Amino acid sequence: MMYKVNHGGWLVMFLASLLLAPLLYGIINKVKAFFAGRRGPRLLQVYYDIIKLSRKAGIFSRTTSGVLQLAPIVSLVAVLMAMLFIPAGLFRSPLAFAGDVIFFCYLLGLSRMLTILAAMDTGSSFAGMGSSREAHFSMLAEAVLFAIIIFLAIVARSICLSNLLSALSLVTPGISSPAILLVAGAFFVVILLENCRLPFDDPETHLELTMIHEAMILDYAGPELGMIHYTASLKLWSFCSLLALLILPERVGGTLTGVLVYLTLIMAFAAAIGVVESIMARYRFLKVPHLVIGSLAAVLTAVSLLIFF
Amino acid sequence: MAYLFACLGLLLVGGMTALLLSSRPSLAMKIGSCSAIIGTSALLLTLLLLLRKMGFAASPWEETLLFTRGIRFAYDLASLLFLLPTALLGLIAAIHSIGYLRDHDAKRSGFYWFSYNLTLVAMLMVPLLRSAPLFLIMWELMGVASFALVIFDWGSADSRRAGWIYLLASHAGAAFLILMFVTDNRPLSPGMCWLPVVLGIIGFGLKAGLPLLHVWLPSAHPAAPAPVSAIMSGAMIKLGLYGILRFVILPGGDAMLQCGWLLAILGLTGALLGIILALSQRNIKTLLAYSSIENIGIMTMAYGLGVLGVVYKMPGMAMLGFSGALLHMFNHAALKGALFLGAGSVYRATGTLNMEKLGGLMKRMPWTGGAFAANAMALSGLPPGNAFLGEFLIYAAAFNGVINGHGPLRTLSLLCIITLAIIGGLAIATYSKVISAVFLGEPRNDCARKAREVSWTMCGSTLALLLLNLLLLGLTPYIMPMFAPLLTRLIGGTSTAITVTDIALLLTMPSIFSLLLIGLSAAAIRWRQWLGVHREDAEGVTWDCGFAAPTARMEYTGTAFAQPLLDAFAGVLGLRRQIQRPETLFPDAISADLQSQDLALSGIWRPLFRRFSSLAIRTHRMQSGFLHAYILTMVLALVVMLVWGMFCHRLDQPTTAAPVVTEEISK
Amino acid sequence: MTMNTSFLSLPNGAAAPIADLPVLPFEEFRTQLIHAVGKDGLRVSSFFAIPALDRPGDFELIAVLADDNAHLLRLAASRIANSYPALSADCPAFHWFEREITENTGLVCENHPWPKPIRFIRPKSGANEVLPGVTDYLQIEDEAAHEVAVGPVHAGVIEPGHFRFQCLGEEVIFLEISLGYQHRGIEKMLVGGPDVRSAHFMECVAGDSSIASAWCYSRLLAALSPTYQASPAAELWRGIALEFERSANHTGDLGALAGDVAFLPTQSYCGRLRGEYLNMTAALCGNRFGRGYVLPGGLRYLADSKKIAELQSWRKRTYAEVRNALDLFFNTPSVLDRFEATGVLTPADAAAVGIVGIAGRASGLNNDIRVSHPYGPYADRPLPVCVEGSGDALARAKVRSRELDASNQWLDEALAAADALSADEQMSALSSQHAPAESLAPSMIAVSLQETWRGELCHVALTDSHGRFRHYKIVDPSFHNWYGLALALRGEQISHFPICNKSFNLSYCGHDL
Repeated sequence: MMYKVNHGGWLVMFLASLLLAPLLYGIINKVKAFFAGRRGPRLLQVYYDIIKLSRKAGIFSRTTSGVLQLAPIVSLVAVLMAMLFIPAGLFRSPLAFAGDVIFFCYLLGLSRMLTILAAMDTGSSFAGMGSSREAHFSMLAEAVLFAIIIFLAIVARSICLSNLLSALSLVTPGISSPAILLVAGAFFVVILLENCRLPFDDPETHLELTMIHEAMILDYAGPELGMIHYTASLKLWSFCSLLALLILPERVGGTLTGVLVYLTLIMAFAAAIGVVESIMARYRFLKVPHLVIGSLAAVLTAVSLLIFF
Repeated sequence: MAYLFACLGLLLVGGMTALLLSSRPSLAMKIGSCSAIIGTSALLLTLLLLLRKMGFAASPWEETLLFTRGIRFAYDLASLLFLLPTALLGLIAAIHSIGYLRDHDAKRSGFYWFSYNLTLVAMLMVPLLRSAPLFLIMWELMGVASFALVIFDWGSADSRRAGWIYLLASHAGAAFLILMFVTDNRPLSPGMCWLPVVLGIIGFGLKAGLPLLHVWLPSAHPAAPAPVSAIMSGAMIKLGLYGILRFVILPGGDAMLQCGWLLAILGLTGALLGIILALSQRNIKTLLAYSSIENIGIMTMAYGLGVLGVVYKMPGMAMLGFSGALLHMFNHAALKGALFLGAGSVYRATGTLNMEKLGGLMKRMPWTGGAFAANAMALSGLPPGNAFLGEFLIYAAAFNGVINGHGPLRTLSLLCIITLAIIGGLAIATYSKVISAVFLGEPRNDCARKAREVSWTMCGSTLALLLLNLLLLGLTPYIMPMFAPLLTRLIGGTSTAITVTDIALLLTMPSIFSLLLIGLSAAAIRWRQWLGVHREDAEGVTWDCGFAAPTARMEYTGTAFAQPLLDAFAGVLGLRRQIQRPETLFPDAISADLQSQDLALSGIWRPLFRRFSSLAIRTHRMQSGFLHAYILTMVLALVVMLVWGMFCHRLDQPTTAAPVVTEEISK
Repeated sequence: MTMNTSFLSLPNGAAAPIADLPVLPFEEFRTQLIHAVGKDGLRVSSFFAIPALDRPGDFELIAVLADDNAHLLRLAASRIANSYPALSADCPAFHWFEREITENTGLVCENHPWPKPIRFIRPKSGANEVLPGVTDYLQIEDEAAHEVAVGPVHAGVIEPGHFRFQCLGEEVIFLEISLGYQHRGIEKMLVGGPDVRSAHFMECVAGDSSIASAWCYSRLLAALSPTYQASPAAELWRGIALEFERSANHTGDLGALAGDVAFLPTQSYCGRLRGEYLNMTAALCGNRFGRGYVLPGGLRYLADSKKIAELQSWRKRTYAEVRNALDLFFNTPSVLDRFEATGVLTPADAAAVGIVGIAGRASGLNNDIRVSHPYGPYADRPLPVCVEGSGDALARAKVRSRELDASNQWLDEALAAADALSADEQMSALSSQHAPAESLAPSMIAVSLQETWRGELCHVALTDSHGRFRHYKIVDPSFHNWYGLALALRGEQISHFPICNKSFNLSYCGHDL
């Protein structure tokens, strides 16, 4: 099973991803506003924010030593590069290579470490708090992510992202569907954790002491802040699109319907994040590992289902 | 090759001269450093030429240099590969030493250069020697010469203690190796074929720092001068891995299955324990030392995967495992060497290695700081660092095991992957901690506030290693095919579906994309700078909530940064929270500290040694002072041994001749 | 019993000639107070020093203790000069008061466990500029520990205050709260009154308790002059307004608590419903916070039966929605998990430092001025005291929720009673006292207590020989409770601070005056 090779199609979808990514935050905010009985910010508000920020000049703390300036740029480049390996729109990525999934994960790791270092560069205790939490939770998320990759690698007999994701879907016969459900569920938890969403982090809070991601970027302004917002939305888009590819059968690929279903599914995941954020409270930090280790156990169960049955 | 011996000779003579000129430190310094630099650079050149020659599959596997009276000097690809880090770090650490010793320990430079050169000579001889007795002697010499360097700062009790532990571990390792050589040369019953393997792994593991055998490492590395730590961590502990490769894996044998499992599990445990302990450290060099244990663990795990690949007839996994181990060995040597040298520069600039007292050095020491941060990020295994390439291969080996393996092998590979992922996350945390606590933010102490950039020899040596790492990143795919003869031999010499070229090809894409990442980022940063000129970027203060008098106490310390993770691994760390909150309603004495301990040391070795020492004290009673009592003891011992020998001899198969090695040792 | 001889006993909202106030020798004064508070369980409602009239340099210490069981206030006084052995050394409840005394008068409290300013009042000489919050904070010497400094500027739209955490990573070892940014000198400006401005000052002591504060002041004036006596109808309406104020604040706080754990539904609904209660207040008097409604002697506005009916149905509607939002809040496990065992203030600690109001009741203290020192409409229509025992943030939320129920029930009856008032009675509630011209009874001391939505508010006034205020002392509930918040944070996770802070929800300007 393989995704269709259509470099033109892939390129169009890749560019579309770059363009559509900030929309996901608009969708999440709209859904949350709906649940709260408010009208909420405009759907395109994130775009306006990014554009407004990109026109400004930067402000940097005197304490910092350059890491603060470099981090958002390199981080953006890293995430953009990671997106090159995603079989966007169910077209095989032309840059796919064996092991690109490891490269993908480690590029995100690079972006994370840079964010942590930039935060520590400010010497602020809030940034320290956020970084410390980020380092803790992302370590857990990494383990779950790799467990999911193991599951897919066993099915696909490959460690190339384009093959991994095409190997199975929710409707694949033969592989016990509970296993796939478990994996998809765990992946959704990883999405929430990696993108600093509820119940792990609250992107909307104004309370520095409870923040993770927001605390790390407190000292950013102007174009750098815009870059960070954009990078975050690209990351969210990447994860949502991986989940969409995971549960979509490869045979719908290469068609207009397939592309539309793919895009709709990504938006639906954003909406689902909005729903989750509307109906549950945030976890206390001490309980976060429980949920993540729980999802690791779920994936390992799925793997053993796969191996033994 | 006379060249090789000439280089070694130059090192020896230079060292001796420096020692003789101890009374004139500046001259000793010049002669010592020149001999070390010239000797190692000539050696490096020779090695590279030899490597080019040996890298072709057509050339002979092994070349003998010297063969007289049972003493054999020879080199093959494995020797060359493991000689390379020694020569390279020997050169760069020598350059760093010039700055490191100046104004501080210059008076004792004669002794320093003598020990330094002697250590290098011993380390360079070890991979060349093929006869067991001489190998053991050189192995011991290496331990003793480096012991002299570990206690170089003998004024401090910590140094003496670290040196003592190091010496003990070194001798214990040698003892196990003697046993290994003895058992290796005796025909053993099939049920006992694992014995030499286990003895070898313990003996060499003591040098390499495998888990439970690592206890000397975290105390010796910080005690030694930084250039020496760089050599020890970058090259010497790798010789332990060389020993395992040469004497345990290459000979093969019936016990390879057990060997593979043992290596994989030891490696896995060592890697995880090493990084967790590294995270909890406050001394930069102790942190780096524990991180070495982690990386040795990763390499050992890769060895294990390689051996299991051979045993289970999965050449792809074997190839990936071995090549990953070798590649990571190189990358780790260059990176860890650079980090230790950087730590040395920080020590010279500030007078402390305690990262809780530092901070804000990036602005004060931009070259050292930049090189340290870049190397540390690379060592976290992140692209675009060169360490990623090695870990990439090891991941690939483990995935190969998960996909193609069965039963327990599959579970092991799965565990390896998850462990590698967790190690990746923890390495990010660990190196973020050290970079930020030492170089970022505001200085927490006067010693950091007054720091200035160090001399160009010290700066230059870390920058040179950074450059080397960049070269390794780009050139690895082209260098890899040179490993071919060794890898083919390791996986049994059979032609396989997967070749070294395939592996080199596998690395091409990550390598290209890493270089691309560097290029694109540089371009983007340049563009942003250009934009900044037009936009007039401003400066301000870090957000302090509008408070009137912010202080450096308000930034996170390294321990505070690591606290949530340390709590998560409290059991492994034997974490002690020493927190005193006010007991009354009003403030009184409060304190807060987190202390971790190495459970292998405090839980196993220390009680064991205590037991031994109390036993030794009890045997004092036998020291009566009467000569006849001693003679009686000796006679009794002789009788007991005679009886035992006769008894054993009757049980032994009387067919074999006494092994050569035992004879030579008993002489 | 010694209490009768050593103390002057007054009911809530009463006055007595200063001459009746027993002036004890300091040793006896100290022993009696420590005994009364430490052993007999009286609470320190107010404790302050004023310059003695006859001898410059001497000070009179005046203590007002609340005896909840006897429904009385016990007053005592003593004279000192320069310094005295601190009461807080033996009785922690005086701790904050004595810090205030030292800061205001320069008297030295010997052996005070923690002698530091609480407001950083700028000295008149101006030689050394005092910056609020810049002080020697208690520090941890260990190199691994660090500080987190929050404020005075906070990310939310809240008042300024500085919080200094001594931490090790996520764990708070010690919290020190440094206030004073909002100090305006209200007490000083009241001296020489009452005049036109006095009532307005009262409404600004803590803007969210305008009604309670103005009412407390009005009752104090009533005790000092018959001109300011309010009719029962006026008192009933004041009670109604106060319960609206309470409901609005409790609803808002519960919504904000939900917001702190990112529980969207309750946050959004309560945020809006708080506005409903404020609007009801506005319907009553034209101001959402009830400013200008309560005047000395009565009310500024009246409500006709049409308005009463409107308020009744409005209140019922709003309450039903609030209840809905709160049920969701208290039935969601992920929410309860965040509040349970978070920020525990043990009953023993709460009693020792004299915590009042919601926070006190959440820590098992049975104190509610409306019940223990009943006044006006609360005397006729008693309310239940809502006590919880666990002292955590959940208990503070539950107390609020139960008080909302009680308030609603009480409002139902009170509005019905107001509707039943005759036209004359209604008219009697009106006050004509816009500008108090009359002098008060000379050389008197008067005390008035109120249960604001936050807790006990205590006003004490001393008049001079001309019937003007010689001294006016305000003790806002926040004054008692800030130290409780600091105690609740010891050993807590720093990420729980916002929840703890919000569950106490103390006033900065009420404390800083």
